[in-house]
Formats: sequence, structure tokens, C-alpha cells
Amino acid sequence: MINSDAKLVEKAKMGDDRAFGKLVRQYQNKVLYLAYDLIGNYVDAQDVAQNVFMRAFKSLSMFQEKSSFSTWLYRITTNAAIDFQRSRKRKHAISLNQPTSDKNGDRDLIDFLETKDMPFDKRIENLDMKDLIEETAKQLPPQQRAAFILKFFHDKKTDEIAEILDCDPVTVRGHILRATTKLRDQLKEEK
Amino acid sequence: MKKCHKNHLVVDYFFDELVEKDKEQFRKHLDCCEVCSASLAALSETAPIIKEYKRQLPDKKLMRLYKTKLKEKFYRPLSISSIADKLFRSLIIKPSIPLRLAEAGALILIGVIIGRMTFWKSSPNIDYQTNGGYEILLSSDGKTLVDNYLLEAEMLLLDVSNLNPLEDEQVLINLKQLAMYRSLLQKTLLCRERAEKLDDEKLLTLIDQIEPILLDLCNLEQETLDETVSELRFQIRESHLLFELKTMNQEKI
Repeated sequence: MINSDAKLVEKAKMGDDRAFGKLVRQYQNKVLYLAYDLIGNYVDAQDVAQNVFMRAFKSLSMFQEKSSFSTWLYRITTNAAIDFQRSRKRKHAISLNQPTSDKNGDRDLIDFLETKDMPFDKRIENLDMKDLIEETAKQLPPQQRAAFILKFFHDKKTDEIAEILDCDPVTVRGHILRATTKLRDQLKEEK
Repeated sequence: MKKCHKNHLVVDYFFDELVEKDKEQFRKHLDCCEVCSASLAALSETAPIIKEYKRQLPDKKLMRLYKTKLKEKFYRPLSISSIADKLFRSLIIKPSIPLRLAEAGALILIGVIIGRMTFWKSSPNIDYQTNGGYEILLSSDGKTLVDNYLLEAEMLLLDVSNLNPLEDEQVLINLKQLAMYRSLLQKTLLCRERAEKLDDEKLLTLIDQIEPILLDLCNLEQETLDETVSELRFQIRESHLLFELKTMNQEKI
């Protein structure tokens, strides 16, 4: 897979649009699922995933192939999703200070209240295990969440996660340990 | 709260990402480290629950829309002009090494075929018994056969008339072999057929003179070598055969 990726990347760099199309087809689901895991809804994840491929296409000439194409694409996806989350938080902050009459504004406010304002214990009451995991992941800081998701939902190795997040493997292990401990605590609380 | 500087390795140990040596060392460390043991317990307890997690799959309509958008942006079907451009690029501008070798091979082959068609003409293949009989013998191929025969006969008789049997014994043996090799006797028969069909008196007379000399040459015996060669030389000189052959060949040239 990595070899065939490298060949396709080489062709795409030389201007072969079809080669890049093949890469897109190969990774379209993985990128969408990672974006969803990090963002939490498919509508936004879909936009982010499209932007990821657009960014990859534009900056392909700068890709030096020090890591594999898949790692590089996962890095772009993670960064794009984290950026999206940050911009959404900023939007929430603005919408709370302004009267919201439009549909999007209402939805943003509802999202915000759902994720932030209600006490965790109360929200957890009617949630099943799947929701609990998703909720716990949402509470984690961005990098910690990304490390946790890449490890458990995308089966990435620690070194690869470190490459994707551009940090030390020791930090990645710390993120995963803290996230797991937090989830375990939440499970205990629920019981 | 207690801390351990090796605590982070719990993750790689749990997910089996440590090399065998490090794994063994860490296993020993676990026996005596409460912090790491507790972390490993937390991971062992939680990981199976997380592994059971299955993400909600996207709505089919949304997935279709997503793929359609990607398709529009990144993998449009090829148009004829882009196929032609791609072919032009791969065959002419940047051919791969095997393709270059194939192209070179094809060019050499074409060169050989053209060269063969232009410069190489095969000698007439007279097989009149199977390929049209006398028709071939009477055609231009038959004429070429007679021309070649007369030239070869002239050269052979010239050699015979010039050699000295005492000194050139080996040359004589070679001549004998040469006469047989070139199938001059066989050609004599064919040329006679042609001359008879065309009523070519002049050629018939020549063949009548050449044939016995060729027969004598092919039947040379070591014991009578001197005598036979002297006789042949005399015969050639007296018959003016060489002069007539030379005149005929020059006329043709």
C-alpha cells in the first residue's frame, strides 16, 4: 500500500491528476471518519474532509516524503479538524453575546449548551456506552483527544501518532494514558 | 501521588509495540512498580470497552453527496483530448525505459525490413520441376541463370587454361571441387533445355563445348592428372571457347 501510494504521489507531483484522484478514492472514507471522530458530526466532517483533500492537492509539491502519504494526510486532517473546532468555539462565544434569530445561530447555541453548559453527570444519565465514550473524548484537550482517537479508533502505532501530531512519542503515550484514565473514572462514576 | 519515569511505556507494552528486550525489562519493572501496574490495570480495564465502540455510520445520502463532490473536484472521467495528451506524454515526451527499448527495437526492425526490400535481391530460385516447369526456365529468371552460368564457366576455364599440373596440383583439386560445388553440370543441363526451347544455336554450341570439359574436370584421377589437364588446356585453346565466352559475357555487360 505504501509503495503504491509513493508511486501515485510521484505521478501526482508530475501533474497526473488521475493519480491524485486514485489517492483521494483510497483515503476518502478514512479521512471522513477521522474528521467525524474529531468533530462529532458528519455534516461538518464532510466539509473538513473536502478541505483536507484540497489542501493536500495544493501542497503536494511541498510534501517531502519523509513520512508516508497516509501519515501526512492524517496530519492535515487532524490539524484541519482541530482548527475547525477552535473556530467553532470562537463562533459560540460570539453567538452567546449576540441575539440569535437565524437557524444556524440557534443550532450553534444548542450545540454549545449540549456540550458545555450542562453538568456532565446529568447528561450522562440517558447515554449508553457509545455516547459515554464520545462524550469523554469531547471533554479532552484537542491533542489528547486526537491521540486517543488515532490509537483506539484508527489503530495507529505510537510513533505514527507522534508523527501525525508532530510531537514526541512520550507525549503521545502520556495523552493516551490520561485519556484512558479519565474514561475509566467516568465509567466508574456511571456505575 | 507517586510518579514513575517509565510510566509512559505502559501504553507501548499494552499495545505490544515494544521490542522483545524492552518488553522483558518492562515486565520485570511492573512487578515492583505500583504506578505502572495501576496504569496497566486502567488500560486493561478500559481498552476492551473502547474497542467495542462502533462509530455511527454516515447517512447514505450524505455519503453519496460527499463522494460526488470529491469526484467532481479530483477524479473527473478522462476526456479524449486528455487521453491523447497522456498517450503523447507517455510515448513521446517521457517514455519509460522498457518503452524506449521497445521503440528502439521496433525502429531497428523497420530499418532492417526497408533495407532488405531496397537492397537485397535474392538469386533466382530455379526449381522448374515443381514451380511452373519450362515457363520459369524461359522467363527472365532463366536468362539470369544462363548469364551466371556463362560467367562461371568462363572463370573456371580461364583458371584451368592457366594452371600448371606439376606446380598447381592443389589448385586443380580445388577447381574440381569448385565445379562440383557450383553445380555447374546441373546448370549445364538447365541451360541446354533453355537453349533448345529458344533454338539458340550459339548457346547450344557453347554448351556442347563446355560440358565435356566439365565432365573431365569432375572425373579427374590422380594417376592421369598431368595428361588430362594438358589435354583440357589444349582443347580450350583450340576451341577458342574462352574467347567466345568472353565475347558473349562482354556483350551482356
